[in-house]
Amino acid sequence: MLKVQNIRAGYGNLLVLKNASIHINEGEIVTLIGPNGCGKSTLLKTIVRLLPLQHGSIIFQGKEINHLPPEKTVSLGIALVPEGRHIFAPLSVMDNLLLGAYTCFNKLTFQEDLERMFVLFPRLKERRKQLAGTLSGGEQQMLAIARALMSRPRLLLLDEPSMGLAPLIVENIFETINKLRAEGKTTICLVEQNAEMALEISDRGYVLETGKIVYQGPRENLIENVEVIRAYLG
Amino acid sequence: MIWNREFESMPREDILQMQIERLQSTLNRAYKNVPYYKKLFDKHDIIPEEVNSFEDLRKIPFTTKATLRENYPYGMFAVPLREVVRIHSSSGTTGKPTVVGYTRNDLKHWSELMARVLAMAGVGKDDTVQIAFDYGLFTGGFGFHYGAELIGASVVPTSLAAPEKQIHIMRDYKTTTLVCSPSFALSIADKLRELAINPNELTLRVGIFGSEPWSEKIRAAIQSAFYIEAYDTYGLSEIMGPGVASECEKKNGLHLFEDHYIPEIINPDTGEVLPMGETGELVLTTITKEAVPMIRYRTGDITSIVDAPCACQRTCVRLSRINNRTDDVIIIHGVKILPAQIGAVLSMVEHTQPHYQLHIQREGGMDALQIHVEIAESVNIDEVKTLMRIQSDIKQRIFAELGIHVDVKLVEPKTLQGKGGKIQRVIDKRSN
Repeated sequence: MLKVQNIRAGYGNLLVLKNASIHINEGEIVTLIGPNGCGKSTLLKTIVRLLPLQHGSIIFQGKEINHLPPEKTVSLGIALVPEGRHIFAPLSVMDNLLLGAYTCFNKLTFQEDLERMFVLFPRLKERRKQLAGTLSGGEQQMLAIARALMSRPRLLLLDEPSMGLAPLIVENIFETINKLRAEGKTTICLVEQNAEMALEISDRGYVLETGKIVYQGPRENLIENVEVIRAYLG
Repeated sequence: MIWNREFESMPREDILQMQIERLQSTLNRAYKNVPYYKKLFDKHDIIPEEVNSFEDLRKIPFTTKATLRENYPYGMFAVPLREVVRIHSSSGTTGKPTVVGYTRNDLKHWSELMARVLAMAGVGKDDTVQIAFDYGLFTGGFGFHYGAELIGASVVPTSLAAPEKQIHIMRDYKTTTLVCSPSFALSIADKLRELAINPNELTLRVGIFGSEPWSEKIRAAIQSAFYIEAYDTYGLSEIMGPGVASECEKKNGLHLFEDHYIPEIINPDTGEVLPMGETGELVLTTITKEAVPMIRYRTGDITSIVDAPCACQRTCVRLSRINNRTDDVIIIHGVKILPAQIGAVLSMVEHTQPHYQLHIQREGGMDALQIHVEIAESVNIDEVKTLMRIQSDIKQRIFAELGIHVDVKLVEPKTLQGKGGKIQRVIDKRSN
């Protein structure tokens, strides 16, 4: 579904992602793990074209998307749930979800999608009229994921969904990710510091270190190697 | 039978993407964890993260057997010994042994690849697999053992028991699959004839043979001796052991497991990479090995690669059967000869066995090649006339084919095989 070949990206003169090639197959959950500053988030932001590409190519469903602006990648079916949520705090939960559907708005499907979100995240239904800024951290994360799903993505990129959340809430979020996979509509790429938990629900993973991929493999190999990775690679 | 359709029949385009990804992480790890590769890359200004393609890979110098010896024993290891769960060493066919290690994941991959090898030959869980490879430092026994266990076959690890014992076990335990070196298979076949056991008494149906080059003539001999289908398999301990490439039921080349290795064919003299289809030395890069990654390892084996699709639906490239090694080239009076060329000539001569040995010595400043050939058991050793006729027949044919005069010595059957059933092909007595 997604093929990333030899991409390099960074901020200004600072090259963060030195070289990365990854692929994600339809229906998979793929995790990117690695220490702070290794380039995981940079990789996600580059895929949705929020960061300029200095080298390499990104191919989504057979089509090169190197030169597309970020909004086009959303209409193609890639949605990013950014690190730190970035919800629209002064707007209501409903308005946030409405904005999520901006690229594909259609009254009928909107209602349908909204219902689906309220099934996935019952808490959001209870708080649909509340201002997003007044939600708890966990609820905000749920809203951020729901907002991304409103654009009907084929590929959902999740950047640190567990960050700053209580363990119970984190479990809840991961359960939701699992539900999404069970629905079979969304392919997921997950960036996580909580490697064990992320690998638990993943099919495959890549380990990044200082902007390069140093290890990759199916979940079982990575779990076998988490100790090694921690001690010698990351 | 395809063991892992996802990887063995993956579209070419996806294979290439996966190879690049795995290559890049292998290079990053090797650079970071193997001092030899760090020094090598630095010396040649190779920055691992700038390797974007297979063309870029070609800038990296070759790794050779000599490299492994210089870094003996653990210098090429990319993980600390506490992560290594197994250590093997090369069979030492061509000199001093070299050491290789496996992490738990490496062993898991190895089992998976060996399961593919067995499934390719049609071996499944209902089979009884007799493994007559040495179980020890040599990788052959253990490699097949893991694969056979993984597919759920019944494994009989006979190792290098004497041929007679192999036959008894084969007959009594109802072995369906024989795994060993082709020359050991021939020894077992000889014993079978000697004991006058009808191959129909056996339940053998498949044989997988490897660890040394073997000709189609040997294949035919093995197949007719046991009434089985004989498949060729290829591997080397420096790369993994067995489980690098193997024949499918179509027997038109050995499928190389490209999700674990990147093959290249080079001109052995210049090191230049040759286009697809040309014959040269096989160079392999491991892309999943954790303990001892090998980057552009020169195998010394002469072959060619084809990427045309195979009727078996596997998409990985195929190696042509290997019958030469770069280091077997002998030069007599300036003529370059590969032992297999002599083998090919001998295969046209009647009343001989496909067992031969080349003795080279210097007589009065001249190189002399003497070929020892085992005669067929049907020949009466006391019949001097027949022997002389065979001898001159061989001499004439070799002169006609290769343009050199050789001396021929006929020896009795089963006198050339050494320990483990391997024949030392070339004995070079010339100093230097």
